[in-house]
Parts: sequence; C-alpha cells; structure tokens
Amino acid sequence: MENVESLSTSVNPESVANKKYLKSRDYVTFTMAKFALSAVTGLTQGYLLIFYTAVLGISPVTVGLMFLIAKIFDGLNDPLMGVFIDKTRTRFGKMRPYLFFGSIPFGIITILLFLPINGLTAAGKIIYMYITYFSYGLIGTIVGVPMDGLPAVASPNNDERIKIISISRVVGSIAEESALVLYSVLIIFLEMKFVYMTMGIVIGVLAPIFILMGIFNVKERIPPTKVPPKITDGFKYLVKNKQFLSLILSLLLSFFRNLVSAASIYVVTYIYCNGSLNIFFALPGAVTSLISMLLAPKLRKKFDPKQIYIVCTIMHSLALILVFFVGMSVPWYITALLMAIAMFPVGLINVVPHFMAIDTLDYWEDKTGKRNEGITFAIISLRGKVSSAFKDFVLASLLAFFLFSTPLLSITSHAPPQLTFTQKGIFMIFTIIPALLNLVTIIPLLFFKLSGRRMVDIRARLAKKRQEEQDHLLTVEEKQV
Amino acid sequence: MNRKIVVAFTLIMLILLVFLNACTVSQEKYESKLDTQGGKYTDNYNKIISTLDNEEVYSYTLEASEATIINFDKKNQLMPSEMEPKEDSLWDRPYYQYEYTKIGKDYKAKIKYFETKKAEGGKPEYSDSQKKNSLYQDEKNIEYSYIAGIFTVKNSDGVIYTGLESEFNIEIEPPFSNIGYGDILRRLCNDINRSATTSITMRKWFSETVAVLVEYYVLEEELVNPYRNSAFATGYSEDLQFKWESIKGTMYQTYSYTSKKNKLTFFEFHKELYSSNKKESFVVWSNQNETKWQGNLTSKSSYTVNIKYPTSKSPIVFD
Repeated sequence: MENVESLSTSVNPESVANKKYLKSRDYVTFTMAKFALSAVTGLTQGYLLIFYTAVLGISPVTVGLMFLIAKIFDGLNDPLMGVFIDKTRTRFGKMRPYLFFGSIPFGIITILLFLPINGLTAAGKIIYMYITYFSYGLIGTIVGVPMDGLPAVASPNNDERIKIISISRVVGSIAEESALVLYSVLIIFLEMKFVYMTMGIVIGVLAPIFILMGIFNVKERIPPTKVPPKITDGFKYLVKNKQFLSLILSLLLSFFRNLVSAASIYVVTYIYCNGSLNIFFALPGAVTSLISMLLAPKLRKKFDPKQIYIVCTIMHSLALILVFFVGMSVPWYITALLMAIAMFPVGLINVVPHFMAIDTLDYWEDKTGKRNEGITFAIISLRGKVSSAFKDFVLASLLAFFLFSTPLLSITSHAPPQLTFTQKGIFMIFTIIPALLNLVTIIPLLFFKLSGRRMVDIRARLAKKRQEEQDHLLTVEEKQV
Repeated sequence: MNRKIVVAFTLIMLILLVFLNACTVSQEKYESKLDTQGGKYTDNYNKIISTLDNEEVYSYTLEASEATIINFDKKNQLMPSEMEPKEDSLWDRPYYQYEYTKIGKDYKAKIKYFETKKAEGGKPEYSDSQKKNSLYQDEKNIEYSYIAGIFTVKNSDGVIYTGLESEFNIEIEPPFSNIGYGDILRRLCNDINRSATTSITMRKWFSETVAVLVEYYVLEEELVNPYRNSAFATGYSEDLQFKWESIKGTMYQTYSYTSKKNKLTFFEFHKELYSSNKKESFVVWSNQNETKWQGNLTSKSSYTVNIKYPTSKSPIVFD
C-alpha cells in the first residue's frame, strides 16, 4: 500500500477542490470492493436463516434468538469501530489497514458460515452457529465501517467523492442480488446444502480479492474532518426532537415489510417446490421498486413525503392482501406477477423517509440553530440494523409457530415434508402478515407534523437566515480587503 | 477502564447465552415429556373421531400420492448412482383422489387413479431429461355407491354393476380403499407408538387446533422397530443417529390433524423410507476406496384428507 498523500497548506484550496484525483481504475476497483462486500451481505441476509434451519436442522426459534442478539451486538459495534478508526494513525491511513488485514478473514468466515458441517451434536451445531455468526459480525464491522468511510477521504474534490459514493451504492444494490442469481442457477444442478456451500466458497474467495484490489488503488488523501457522533448524544437528540423520534419509531416498525423478501426463498422451496424460481419472485419486485424510486423526486415536488409514505404503505398492504386471497394454488407465475406489482410502492417507501429525515434537520435548525446530520444518519443506520435483527427474529419465530420441520443430519439430504399448515403459514408470512403489520408504521407518523405549509415556512426562514449569514460574510471579507 | 469492563461483561454475557441456548434436556426428561404429550394427542384425537362417528352427514376428499425409486438395489443395498453401470434414480409417482360422501346409511365414493406411463422393462417415462416430471396414463376412475340398500359399481366405461357386494371388498387395501374414515384414520391413530415418537406439538390457530406427531422406526432384518427399542439407533431429538451398516433403513412418519369446534376438519399423513445403502469413495491419503454407509430416501407416500360438514349454505348431497 502506498502512503497517505499529504497536502501542503500553502496550496490554493480552490485548485485543490477542483483538481481530479481519482482515475477510472479507482472508481472501478473501489466499486468492485463494494460489490464484494454487498454480495456477502446479500448472501447472509437472504440465505443464512434457511441454511441454518433447512440444512443444519437447527430449530428456527434458536436461530431467530441468535440473530436478534447478534445484530443488536453488531449495531453497537459500529460506533466502537468508528472510535478505533479515529484513533488509528498509520502511514497507510486510518481505514486501509483494517481493510487490508480484515479482507482475508472476511472471506474465510463467509465460507465457514455456509459449511454443511456434519458429525456435530445439536449443542455443537448451535455453538458453531454462534461462533461463526458473531465472528462474521465482528469481522464485517472491521471491514464494513472503513469501507463506508473510505470514499469520504479518497479525494478533496467533492464532486469526485459524490460520484464514487453514488456509483458504488448503485453497484452495491445490484451486488446484493448476485447471491439470488447464483442460487437460482446452482439449485438446478446441486442439492440445497451444496448450493449454499458453493455460494459461500465462490463469494468468500472473490470477496478478499476484490477488496484488496480496491484498497491498493484508492488512497486516503484527506483526514476525516468531522468527529463521529456518540450514540448517547444520538439518543438525547431523539428525546428532544419529537418529529425525528416519530419518524424513527415508524422506521423501526418497518421490519414487518421486509418479511416479504425474507420469506420468498421459503415460498419457492416449500410451496412451489422449485428453488430456481426465487429469481422470478425477487428480481421483478426489485425492478418495479427501483422504478418507483426514480419517481420519488418528481412526486416530492407535488406531495408531502408523509402523504407519499402513508399512501404507498396502504397500497403495498392492499396488494399483498390481494395476493393472499388469490391464494397459493394458482400457477407460480401469477403469484410472481402480482408480487412484482405489490413491490412497486416499496421503492418510494424506502426513499421518502430520507426526505422526512432532512425535514427534521431543517425543523431542528429552525428551532435551535443547530443542524445534526451526523447524529441523524447514524441513528438511521443503527435503526436499520435493529430492524434487520427484529425481521430475522420474527421470521424465525413465525416459522417455528407454523411448525416448520427441520431435517435430521444423520439422514443424507434429509428434507422432511412440510405440513399443509406450515405451507399456509409460509404463504401468510409472505403476504397477509406483513400486509397487516406493516400498517402499524403509519401510527407514529400521525404525530409527524412536518408537512405542507409548516415546512414551507421553515424553509423560507432558513433560506432568509442563510442569506443574511452569507451577506454578513461578504461584508466582513470586503472590510478585510 | 469503564470501556474494558463493559466489553468484558458483554463477552461473558454472550458466552453464557451461547451455552444456555446450546444446553439440551436429558433423554429421560425428553422421553417423559413426549409420553405425557402423546397421551394428550391421542385422547384429543379419539374424542374428535368419536364425534365423527356420530355424524350422519359429511363428505371428505382424500389426495394420496406415492413415489418409489424402482431401480434401488435392495439386495445389495445400492443406490442407482452407485451401480455398475451408473443409473439415474427412476421415481415412479402414481397418485389418486378419493371423494366420499355419507348421508345417513347411504354413501357414495369416487376414485380417480393416475398411473405413470411405463416404457419397456417397466421403467417410468418422464417429460424432462432430469426426470422430475412423470408422464401419466389416462385417468382410471371407478364409482361405487350404497343407496337405499342397493350397492352399485360404475367403472371407467360407464357400465353399472349391481349385486357385487360379496365380490367387491368394501374394505380393500389402498389404492382402492373405502375409507369410511374408520379405515385409514383410525388405523393410523391406533398405530401411533410412543417408543417411536420424536416430537409432538399442538397449536391453537384462531378457532382451530393443529396437532403434529413425528415418529421414527428402524427397519431391522425381520422387524420394524421403534427407535427407542432398537439397538441400532442412538441419541434422541436432533441427535438421533442410526447404524446404517446394520439395518435395512429407517422410516419417518408424521401425522397431523386439524380440528375446529371439536370436529375433525383435516388430516395429513406422510411416510418416508430411507433405505440403508453403501457408497464407495476414493480416499486420497490412503490411496484406496472406502465404503461408507448412509441412508437415502427411496420411497414416500402422502395422504391429505379434507372433511366437510353440511351447513345451511352448503348442504351435502350426492352428485
């Protein structure tokens, strides 16, 4: 790795900000690193639960509890990692050393997560699950936090930073579906346990290679200027900013909606008895949701984000209820088509909370003069991890309630038949359960009052205040000249 | 210093949680709990079946399917993939549907039977190269009824026969069973063996109760032995293991029934046979073949029974 490039203080700041620092290969290799990380995330989030229950034969309740504990632990890890990074001083930078030393263990743990281990007792399997998953959480944090922070220090040119972040985020979203494509192809030729093992090996071997390529090219050119916010400060802010609190509560409850995508692999495996159909259930929905995401800026101009969120949530729930009543006895492509339509509003539901978060920032700045982006988005990120934890726990608990049968490892490729009650339960987890429970996300938003005339007035006051500050700054500069 | 204490405390709590989750109950407690639950399961089931005994009018639909690997070498215990020359597993998958209606002492039954198409040598035919989709012959159907004291049989050609009571065994074995609920449902209930049970669960789902029972048997030379009584099965619950080299196979059975307001509305039964077989694999470090014994699925059958009772909006009539 090359050393951190330092910038002379006598250099003109304007020319530094406009100069191009990143070459095409920087964009390509960093994007590949991000692709690798997102592919691992997509693999673990999409397939680890079914691997633990349907291949290793661990009871869903045990797995769900492990996920809940692990992800809450993981959510608390990130700020600690942020502190470690901040205190790191090496000639290679703050973040690249962690990526360098963490990439190979990250690949190894990905492979270990999906090994169809044999010969262990029930207790042994549970211990193995805990050790590997917690290790994955820890190593994932060691690699993930610096990876997220690296673009911010890769170039003093703000346009370049925005560009590398945007490209890598889009590619990252696509990468999360790479496991889906791999699964849909491999399941045609291999048994389930070997499919997951192969996916783990392929992604686990490629991930460190891509990550190392990324960090060898992308250098840290500027030190991070902002001190990461403390989580305790975040909770204090939540209590004071009630508008932000109502938004976060709504977002916390949104994990019910994610049951749909999490249950899709169970639907294709145990209702339609064809794992390769997963791509037809997941991909069209991802496309329709992406299309609605693109409509967000235009709709934002005409409607309040709160209105858009509530209407889209109701539309999504109604569409899922329709799928439930059409039933699981219809041909799979009818269900897949209806689900693609049901997922259309989800793109908007995912995007508009960011607009609402910005409204809470404007509201707080208008009220107190302070703007807390760091805390706001740190809390939103923590919320994401906690929601993910609840989603896996609820899914696992529902599978246990609906009597999901786990295999006996002493019988080769044991796949016990799932009862009709279980199949109906899986279909409910895919449709009516998220449809009804998702509506509770609207309740906290009834207390969210930042819309319409009120936000227009807030923005007008802020615009006036910023203009006055700019005018004052110009006057001071003129006097100095 | 505080941070180190917090980290140490968190790690200790995590380790404790792992071990708490990994702890399993002893075999004695596990089997004792199953015996108690088994009693509740069969008592409840017998109560529901007795209610059905007193019903004058009901109908049910039975869907049954079977699947068997016909080219499994039972004598040498070899899967088709281990034979010389290697073969694909040939699954034979017939299925049938049975509709039964009872109104007082009269009843009517319709059976539709779907047999697989066979090529030369009795090999099933498939529509795909992976042999996942079987080809079927034209459906065979038969109807018989006992109405106003007259027993009639109507075969696929539409010809109606009477006076066949003595020749047409009403209680014949599957696939042409007259299951006036008593046959399969009672027989299966009576066949439940506590020594074979590995799990029993009962669930309340709104106004319904769902009960599930799982059994394992060991197929020894001349005996089908519940796993608890077999010398070739060790462990319990998820740790149940079998000595494959000493047995013919294991049988997995699961029964599930659903009741609503103490009336049986749904019954489900699955049986799977995992045959013991040997597999040769080359071991690199010893430079020789090693024989490994394992259990693979070689046949399975499933029955689901949906029972309907008359309501004011949906009376039950003979069609």
